[in-house]
Amino acid sequence: MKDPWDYLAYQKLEFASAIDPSRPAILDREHARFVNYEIFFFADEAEMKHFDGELPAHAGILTDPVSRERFIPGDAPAQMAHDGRTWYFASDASLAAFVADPDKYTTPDYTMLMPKMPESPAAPDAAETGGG
Amino acid sequence: MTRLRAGLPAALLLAALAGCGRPPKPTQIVHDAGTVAYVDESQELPRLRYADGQVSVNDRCIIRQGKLNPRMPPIYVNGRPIGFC
Repeated sequence: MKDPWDYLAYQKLEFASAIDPSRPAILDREHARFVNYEIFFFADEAEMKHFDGELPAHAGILTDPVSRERFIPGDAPAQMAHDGRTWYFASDASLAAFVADPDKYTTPDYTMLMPKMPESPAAPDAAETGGG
Repeated sequence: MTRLRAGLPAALLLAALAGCGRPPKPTQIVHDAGTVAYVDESQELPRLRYADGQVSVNDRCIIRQGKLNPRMPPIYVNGRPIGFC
């Protein structure tokens, strides 16, 4: 297994469609969209087209790939196309950093995240495990 | 009829101008006020409540099946947080 939908299905997790919450989302590659670090699943292709046509309004809250801040994109958010995807940013400063070195930010590297959260002795060290 | 013909473009123009006058919605940073904590510490595999108030969809990390790590930020799937360890 290596794709996110495989892991979600393995844990038997279910999600409502990102467009119509009354319909179940189909968790596979054909019904998925990646926007920044967020993943969206849909009930059918028509919903995906609707989502694509009104991005980023339908994406809700996104994660800035540079600052890691959560933000709601406005009408004209800072953005950049890279490697077949459009990335959205919370600020022009984040966009500038991304433009300088996009590959540094296109994968969520947890070991470089600064932990704002409290230390937990019971939790394994993220830097050692690399996440899971 | 002539008045109607003259009035329609003017009305459309006014509507267009009104639309142009709407200020664009700015990008908005979401400031999470809360902290990250296990929902029920007595559970062997407790879910996490994140700073935005949402509770993790999963109670164990999706790859290694271990206890969720509050220091690992979630990935959001359809707006709902998936925890990691």
